[in-house]
Amino acid sequence: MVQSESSPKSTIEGEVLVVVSYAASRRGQWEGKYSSDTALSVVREAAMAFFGVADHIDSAGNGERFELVDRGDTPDLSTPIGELADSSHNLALRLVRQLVAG
Amino acid sequence: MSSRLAELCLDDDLPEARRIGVEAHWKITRPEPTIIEVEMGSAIDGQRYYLRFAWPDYPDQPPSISCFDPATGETKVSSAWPNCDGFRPGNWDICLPLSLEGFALHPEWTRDVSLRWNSDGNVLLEVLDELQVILNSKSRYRGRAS
Repeated sequence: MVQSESSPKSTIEGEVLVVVSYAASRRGQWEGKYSSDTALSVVREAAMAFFGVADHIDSAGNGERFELVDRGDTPDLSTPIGELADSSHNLALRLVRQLVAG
Repeated sequence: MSSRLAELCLDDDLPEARRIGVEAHWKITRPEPTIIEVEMGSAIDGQRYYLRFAWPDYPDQPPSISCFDPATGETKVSSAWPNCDGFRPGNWDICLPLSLEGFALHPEWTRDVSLRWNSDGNVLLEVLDELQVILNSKSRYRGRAS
């Protein structure tokens, strides 16, 4: 896997270029190249690290959890990214905070 | 921050929210310089809701948020509201750490690192995203209020 903050690059066979944006950050977009069978959960963890956020639930059950949104949907985190990518092997996702109430 | 600055900041952030709104199926209008109205739906049952954001101190303070009936503009109508965590038909407000009313009811949220108001980034888009996630949550959304 290769990741960077710079502009998109071409991908090789079986590889998906993933771009993740997060509205609450001015850091721009996170990019990473992964094999198409990589689970979405791997992308989520890497993007969260880039944007400096983490799931947090307190003892009362309140807090926040982060999800990846794909064109308005929230895919299961076990989904291989190859199933979500377009025909050019690109995948654009958005990181969204879900408020959790205990 | 003055309302004029709030207007300018909304000018900056609204285009991106509208761009994302196309794929998220939001319809965003701006009837007044610091009032934003958004139609958004729940993926659970396809119901559509109309939300009004009064945001005179954008982005430094959270907005006052209410649901309204698109035919009359009236907010104090249960049928305009979802039965959903944080939405309070009857009190006619939204008690979540993204609304003025929520922070007024829970001042302790301002001391919580994860819940306090964050004015970084595209705040309009962030708030819309978070409301959409709640409306799409099977564990938090239970249909229209009446």
